[in-house]
Amino acid sequence: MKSKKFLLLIALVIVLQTVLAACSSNSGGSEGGKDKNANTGGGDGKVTEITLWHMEEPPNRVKRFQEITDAFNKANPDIKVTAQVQSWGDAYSKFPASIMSGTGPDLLFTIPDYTTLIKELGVVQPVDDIIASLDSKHGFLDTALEPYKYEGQTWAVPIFGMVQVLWYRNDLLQAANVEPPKTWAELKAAAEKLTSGSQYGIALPASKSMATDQVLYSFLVSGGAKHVINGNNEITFDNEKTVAAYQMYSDLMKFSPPDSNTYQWGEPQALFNSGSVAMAIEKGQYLSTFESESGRPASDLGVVPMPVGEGGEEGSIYYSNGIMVLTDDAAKKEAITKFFEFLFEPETYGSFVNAEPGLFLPVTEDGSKAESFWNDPVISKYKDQVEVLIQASSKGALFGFTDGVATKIGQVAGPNYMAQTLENIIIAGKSVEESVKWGQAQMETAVK
Amino acid sequence: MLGKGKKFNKLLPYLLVAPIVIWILVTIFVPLISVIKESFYSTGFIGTKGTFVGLDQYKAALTSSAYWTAWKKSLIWVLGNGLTQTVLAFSVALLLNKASRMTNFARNWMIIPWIIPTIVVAIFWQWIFNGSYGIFNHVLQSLHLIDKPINLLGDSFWSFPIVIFINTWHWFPFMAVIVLAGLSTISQDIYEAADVDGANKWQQFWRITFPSLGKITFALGLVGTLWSFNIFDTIYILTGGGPAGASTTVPVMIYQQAFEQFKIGQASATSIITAIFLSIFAFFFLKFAGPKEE
Amino acid sequence: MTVVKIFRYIIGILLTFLIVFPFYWVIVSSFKPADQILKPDLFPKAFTLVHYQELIEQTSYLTNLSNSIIVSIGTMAISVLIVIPASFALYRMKFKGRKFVSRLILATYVFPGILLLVPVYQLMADLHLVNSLLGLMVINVTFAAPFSVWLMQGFFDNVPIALDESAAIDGAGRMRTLFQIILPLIGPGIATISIYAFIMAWTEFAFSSVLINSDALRTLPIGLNAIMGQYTVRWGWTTAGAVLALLPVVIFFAFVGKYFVKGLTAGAVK
Repeated sequence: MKSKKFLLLIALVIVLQTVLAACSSNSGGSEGGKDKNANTGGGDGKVTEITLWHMEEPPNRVKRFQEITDAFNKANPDIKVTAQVQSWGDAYSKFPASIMSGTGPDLLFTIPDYTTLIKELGVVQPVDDIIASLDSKHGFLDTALEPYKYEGQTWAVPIFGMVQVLWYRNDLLQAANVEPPKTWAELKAAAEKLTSGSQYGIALPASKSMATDQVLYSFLVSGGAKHVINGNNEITFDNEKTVAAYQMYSDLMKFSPPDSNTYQWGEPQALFNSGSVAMAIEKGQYLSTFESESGRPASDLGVVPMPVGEGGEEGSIYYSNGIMVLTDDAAKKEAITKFFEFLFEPETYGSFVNAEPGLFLPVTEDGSKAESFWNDPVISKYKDQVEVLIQASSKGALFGFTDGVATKIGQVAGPNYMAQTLENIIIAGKSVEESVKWGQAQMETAVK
Repeated sequence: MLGKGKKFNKLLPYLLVAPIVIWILVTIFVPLISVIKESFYSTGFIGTKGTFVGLDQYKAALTSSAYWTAWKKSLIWVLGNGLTQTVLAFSVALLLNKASRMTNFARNWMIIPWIIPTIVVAIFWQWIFNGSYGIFNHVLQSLHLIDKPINLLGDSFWSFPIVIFINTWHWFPFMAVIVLAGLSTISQDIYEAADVDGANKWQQFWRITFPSLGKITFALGLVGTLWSFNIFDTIYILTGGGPAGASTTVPVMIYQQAFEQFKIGQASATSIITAIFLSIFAFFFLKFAGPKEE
Repeated sequence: MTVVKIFRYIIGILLTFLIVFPFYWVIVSSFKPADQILKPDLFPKAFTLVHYQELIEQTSYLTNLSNSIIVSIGTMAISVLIVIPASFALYRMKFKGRKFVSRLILATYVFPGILLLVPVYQLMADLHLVNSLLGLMVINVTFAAPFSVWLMQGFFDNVPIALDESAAIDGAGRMRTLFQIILPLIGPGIATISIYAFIMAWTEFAFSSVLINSDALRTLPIGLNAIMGQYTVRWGWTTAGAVLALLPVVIFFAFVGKYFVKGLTAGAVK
């Protein structure tokens, strides 16, 4: 009995401690701006607190963003920018809920179609003033800025761009005597020749995911079918060129490993690095980890622009990530303007963009020339490859933003209808024409 | 009721259940009201304003083939899980029904698959069944049963059974402990008498064991079915409802409607209808299969 | 050795293998260096702790761990505090509305929980519990308490009413009876529902993801998911992360496991 009482006492103490810990973390951890106008007194003046939510989870990106905000906070003692990393998976449930409950962030990372969704909540602030001042100093690239301009205003500040290209294993292509392909026909031939034994020619995602949507879109662009939905939310998906693009993709699947329909972004890269596949179509993240993960020298990492289809055009998917401003508090907006000015200064900007070298590309003219960008160890090692990436950016496009801005693009992108169309062909075994027709019907219903 | 203060004693039970009742009412039924409200509005993306559409979304759900297909999947899910878990749970329980050092140890530790987070369960099995590097494929290949690795979780036929298997692995030990508990109440004498009468093990199982576990099988049947029906994480983490909708059960479909198609109003209506169906199930289960007392 | 005995052995071995192998395989894989991890060696040819090192140094594992511990213990405590009195009333007293309460408890299982995500978020926001560990505890208790009430039935039934009656004759009020007579005897029951609540809280994912914004307050499953999200193919990190996520709860269970199983057994019987 006595020992039981003793245990009970210990348990009580532990419980009290944890409840106390929970209460203190409650007040300490909610820097997320429960009170939108929180100005905590610090020293002789008020400190304006800004919360920034971003979805770049890899530790190296988190670290780099932290360094940038720390540097800014140090240089501006009356402002405190806090970056909190979130998960893209929560973007469609938690973020809107938190914004509507007043516990959301002041600054939120975004991509073009996500902006159209959040804008519906009525909280996104136009950033034309900030853009005008930054544009005059640094010169924004059109392709980066356009997707955020509609209804006469601009709704996010572009911060870095991403583009897809064709990566190839130089060593494997040379061994098979294959030239880097420039056209679809060459691509198919190369993939076939490079598929032998346990090696596959190419790794293409075929899962119901954004990754698949994006690679598919690169084929749509290079096949001349880049207009999927226009500024009036009319769907123009079902057409000959789209069918040809899906036909090409499904033909290439023969030369892609059998578990392709579980692939998203990571798997093709892992297979490429391990030498199990010779080619992959993806964005620039292949640069920084190639040598360490493949055990091969940098010269084995080859890259060319997306091959062009018959009757198509040069190009692939390209889009910029941006930051939306969600607060209308005057003091905060001033602080935010200062933050953006700091961010885009060439000395800082290159370092910011190189949080993931090769994947994040500059969206300003002086950023593209900045030393802070080119001096990065990875960028300087792969200078030629980076040039290809930057070149490809100017020919890139994003579905929903090719013909005006389709405000309902979120309804098409969210359920991954383009990937589902592919699933219909590959898994359900429907014909390409039937599947594309099905896709068109789904999209039309979704935007009604 | 004896004791001081008749009034206090009358109020006492209410005071004692108040905390949990308030807890449940506030944390489940208050949000539930919000869901019911949303079901009458055609709200799209969360937080936006929808227009009042009355019962339209309820009608839409009841007439949508996607919803009934999801129900079909859910029934397969519930039956598949129920059957395999029951078979495995009984097997384990019967094996461990003798006392010995080994069975004591096993009895305490076999529940380990249940105590780990679902995300760890998913990692375990994705790693084993991986289409390129999984050990399962490797074993099959070395036994020459297949010549190229197969992609079980991405196969339109196999993915759903595999997910059912994985979920079974996660839950059957918990069931086994409960079944074992029931078994321990049946006295050995009955079995000995049956032995004397010449009944074999199989007959003994069906005539003695199974009926004695009535109350337990009832409870497991009701609560287990409801729990199983509403499982979402495991399926979503493993297959996202795919490939091509192969594992899209009702909860997965509702999630997709809400957070992928951005039709929160419709998803709310679908949830309410589903809850009504489940309540009807529970009602009939209690009425016909329930024990005679409370 | 009869046929039946051999049969039993075989089934026993198969079931043991089924339960144990996944653990073994992931643990073993987590010790293989990155270039060997994709090879199907059943025992690592080279042994390394680098994945664990990197995880602890580069990710917020330790923070996530302490958050999980705090949330789980808190859930455990609150759960017991509200379940015991309610069970006492339900199983020992007659009152109008007894049926309502047990129906209410059953009703909590009926609703497909995922759609509650957003409304619960809004509720927590109104209560100023967003981004707080206390908020997580609140919702975890909601999910653990109902089943715990059901579990307690057997324990209460095992305490003879005669004890209550003799206490009453001695002049003890109902509450005295609960604390002095019954509580000590249902110790195993309390242990059982505490452990159940702990495990429910430890493994909870959906609400822990939605209700927490800042990295400093994330729990273990969410932390694991974050490093997995982009790196589903960094199998070294993924397997090591999985091991680190289950290690604490397994250690906890090593100490209290037999009480839980005993309790689950006893609770289920009645």
